[in-house]
Amino acid sequence: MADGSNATTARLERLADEELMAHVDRKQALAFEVLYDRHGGAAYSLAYRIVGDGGGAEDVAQEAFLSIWRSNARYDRARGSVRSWVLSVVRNRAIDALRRGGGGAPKLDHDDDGVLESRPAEEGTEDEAIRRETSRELRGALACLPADQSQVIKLAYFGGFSHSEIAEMLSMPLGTVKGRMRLGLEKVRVQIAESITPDGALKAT
Amino acid sequence: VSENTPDSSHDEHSARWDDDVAAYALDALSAVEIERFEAHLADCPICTERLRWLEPAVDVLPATVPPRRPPPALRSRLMDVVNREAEMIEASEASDRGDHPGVSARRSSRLRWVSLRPVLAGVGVALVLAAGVAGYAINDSGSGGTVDRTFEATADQSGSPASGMLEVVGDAGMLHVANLPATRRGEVYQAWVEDEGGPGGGSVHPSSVFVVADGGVGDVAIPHGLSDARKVMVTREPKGGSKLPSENPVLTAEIG
Repeated sequence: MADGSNATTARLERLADEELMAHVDRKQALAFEVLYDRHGGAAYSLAYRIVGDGGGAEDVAQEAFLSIWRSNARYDRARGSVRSWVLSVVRNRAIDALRRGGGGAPKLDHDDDGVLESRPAEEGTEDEAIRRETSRELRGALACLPADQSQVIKLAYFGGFSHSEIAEMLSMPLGTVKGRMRLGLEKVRVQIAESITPDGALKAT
Repeated sequence: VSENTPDSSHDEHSARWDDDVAAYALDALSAVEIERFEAHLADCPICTERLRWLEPAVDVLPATVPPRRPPPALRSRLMDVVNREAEMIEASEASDRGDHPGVSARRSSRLRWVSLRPVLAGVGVALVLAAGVAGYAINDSGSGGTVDRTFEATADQSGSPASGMLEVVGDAGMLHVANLPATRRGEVYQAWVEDEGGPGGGSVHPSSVFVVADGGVGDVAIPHGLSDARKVMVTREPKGGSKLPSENPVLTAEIG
């Protein structure tokens, strides 16, 4: 029996994400396990970045993956990669958790670079190494933006603030915040078009 | 897809919408603004194209986060729930296929749940039958897949066609619903478990969130809390669910 499930897992591991999702939709626990192993790390990291603590991040990641398992969140191929979709489910849950727990005052900016530097590089798979490298490059892309643009993007995406909340917080006209969001996102978009595919993987060279 | 900013015909296109596309992609518009922008988006190929072009910039934002290794306990907890629910579903399907002798003889005894038959096909019927035979085992492996009890769920608002059925397996259960109205954008349905509590009444605990397909049909697992529950309710909640119900229930299954 163990051999049987090992063989099934090995077969599922060879599937692309989109094919794997078809098995998850059919409520195959082993397929879900493979999905978690592929995206659980990114999901937890994102949840941690948004809610700011390990316990909260665990809760968010657990809720998000269970909603995926129970098909409460549905994957739509047209919307992008499975990874982007999983992470958007995580992001929504994390922002909801922030709003529930923080009385409408999501945490502001965490010092990402500080976190990264204080953390020794771990041994991992080649995929992980690539993701680590990609993460550095992308943080670089965000860091290269003028501070006023990256600030509004981070406040909206990781803080869950609306543009009007951000305008109030920063004492800025409404239109200015939206304009900075647009300029910043456009620059990120152009940069990733040059080096990185949309699901966060480095383009093959 | 062009890798350059799509800017054709932009002279005629209000710059305001351009800014709204970015704020919408970042989920930074208010509910009213979202509604207005989506109404515009439906008829505006420029904004549609622009949004499609910009979305990858939002999709990569999670990858800018420092990688952290999730605690192994998270994976174990998740897989415990998932394995348990997969077993329950398998048991329901086995029952639906009529894998067990003796079901057909009982088929006529409990068909009062007629309103759900067209949408839930045979599933509901088979499970109501299972309830007719107390403790009828629908999974011979004995790994927890026994439907102990079933309860009808009824609409709480007069005139609502919503209906449902709750199957209880030990402390867990599955709620099958039908004819629930479609949720609005940013909304989900959420199940709640009210326990028996003390003399002052029971307390309400949040359970799973779910959405419904065409016909208002959906299945939602209630992973725990049913062994001492008094009722299971369904409410509409903001996406992501709530800790306390935000409105009166649309559907309730009384247990007991």
